[in-house]
Amino acid sequence: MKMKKQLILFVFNILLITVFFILPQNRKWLNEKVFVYLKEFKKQKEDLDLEHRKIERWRTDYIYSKAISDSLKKKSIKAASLVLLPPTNYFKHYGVDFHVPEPAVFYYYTGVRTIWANSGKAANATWRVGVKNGKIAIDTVVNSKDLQDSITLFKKMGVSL
Amino acid sequence: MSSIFTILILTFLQFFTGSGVLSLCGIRLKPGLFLPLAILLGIAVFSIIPFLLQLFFIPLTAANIFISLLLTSAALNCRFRRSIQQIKFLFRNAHFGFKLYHIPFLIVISFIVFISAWRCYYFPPTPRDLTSGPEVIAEYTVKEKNMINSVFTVNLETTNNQFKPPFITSLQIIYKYAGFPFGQIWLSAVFISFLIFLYHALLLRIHSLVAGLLIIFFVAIPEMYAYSFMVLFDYSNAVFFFLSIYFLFDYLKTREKNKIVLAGILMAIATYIRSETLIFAGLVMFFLLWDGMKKKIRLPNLFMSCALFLLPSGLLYLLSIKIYIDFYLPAFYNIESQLNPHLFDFNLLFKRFKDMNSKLLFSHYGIQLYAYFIFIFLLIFILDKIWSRSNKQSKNWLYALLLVYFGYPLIGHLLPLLDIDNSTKRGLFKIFPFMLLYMASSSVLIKLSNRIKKWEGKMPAPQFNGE
Repeated sequence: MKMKKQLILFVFNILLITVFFILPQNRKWLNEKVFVYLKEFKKQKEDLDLEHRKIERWRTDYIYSKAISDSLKKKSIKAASLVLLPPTNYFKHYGVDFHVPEPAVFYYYTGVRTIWANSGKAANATWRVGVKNGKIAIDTVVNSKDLQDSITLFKKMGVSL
Repeated sequence: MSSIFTILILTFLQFFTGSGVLSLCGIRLKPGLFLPLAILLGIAVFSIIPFLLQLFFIPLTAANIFISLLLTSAALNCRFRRSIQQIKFLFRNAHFGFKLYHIPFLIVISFIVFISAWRCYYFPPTPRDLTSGPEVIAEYTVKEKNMINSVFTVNLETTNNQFKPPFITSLQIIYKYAGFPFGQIWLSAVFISFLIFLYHALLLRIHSLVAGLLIIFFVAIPEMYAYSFMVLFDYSNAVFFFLSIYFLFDYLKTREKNKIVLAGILMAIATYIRSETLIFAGLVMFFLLWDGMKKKIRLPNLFMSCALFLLPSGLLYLLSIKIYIDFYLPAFYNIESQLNPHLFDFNLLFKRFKDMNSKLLFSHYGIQLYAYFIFIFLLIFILDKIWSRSNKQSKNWLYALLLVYFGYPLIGHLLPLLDIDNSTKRGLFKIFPFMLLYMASSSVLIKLSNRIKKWEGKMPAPQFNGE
């Protein structure tokens, strides 16, 4: 008798949970978040490489930041160097999908110190990032006028988080 | 495999540390409440240790941190015999009472929790508030053995996240040293422990079938679930804020001093996680005063209760915000400038209240954020008002959730930087555990539970309060 009652409650419980997850928003959440995440898990458990996990999560923000930092390392820049980064709109204008991380996040990704054009200290930059022939290019700052022109251009394009 | 072993060791150490705190406070609870609470308290104690080492300029090496954690754990268990007795009592009284009808609930919850824990482990930290503040500081602390590190030489004009209290930074440092490059997994421990605590708190009043369903409703709040694997301050803040109020209500019922001491400690931790919680702590104190005057408590006793509740929060706020920012960090942060300069112009207050309701709570966007949880609560609330007289316990939970409901627009008015789209959206996580406990204390669900118990052939459980 007790088992029979437990079985009834078992079925009743399944029914209530099912009804709850049939509700539109709950169904959407379950399908788009939980089940999708489960599918991802099956792939993810095979690839535990840290760099792969970073790229999968941070996407182009990380990929381009790393490319800039690798390029700077090849040029063997000093640790104290400061790099002027254009705003996201600048890259958008040249068809590059790169949401530019703010200096603290860029430092977290790469260990490179950067600055945005709207900072009062932007004139201290020693390197400047831009786009040449559709590719991201890193140049040393030749003279202060050249740098000021870049700062003005970047500011015009709108600097935002 | 080694990761799982490390997690188990850390969790055990957290449990042991937390049970030491509970033992010192003389708190005795049912095993289902004691175990998760001890782990949560252990995590909270862990989060303070690297910060304290920093305050004393002790290098934050792995050895210094782990030795300090072990020593703290041992020191908190100074009443070793009492702690061991408590743990023995815990295991003696742990009976699972597993029933067939628990299976669907257990499968669904385990599945949802597993996905959350996996994402927490697998992915690096994502929210900008974390990567531009606590996480980058933690990352370079591990490299440079100092919380005040090269991050402060970077241009930080775009952020104020470097000034956030070091709760997350400290835990990230510990877990990075323990072999988790992205840290974070402590959040899963918070998430799982909180669910276990809530479930057992619900079981004190309602049938396990109803409690299980309510927990599923709670876990399926989309926005809150997302922050069970994306580290930020709000989820942990909601957990410790809830626990503080839980023990405060317990104190109001029993008037046992140790309960208010624990409530004060828990509120201090919530304030350490998010400093504006201090305003909530102040608001809660009015409730304490009002209750005391209603019950004609002697004034000295009443002031003592208020002090026990509020002082720990004030001290931790002073340490983690005023002293740390003003005297340690190599950057200036004017907190007073965050205050609304037009405090007596209440237009912003009303706008905040209106926006919170129309944008976040009762809108299509609100359903995307919190699904139907608010509406389920409202349904139970209305049924309770129609069919039954609400009891004292449910009234208390109602006060608590109203405190958050009216408190957030007030905080938004005082500190306009705490916006609707981010801070209030996540700050409202605090309201949901109270809604859950209200539902479990509602006469409607208690009657329903008693009917199920009677039908099952069990006597309806007596209503007691956790001990």
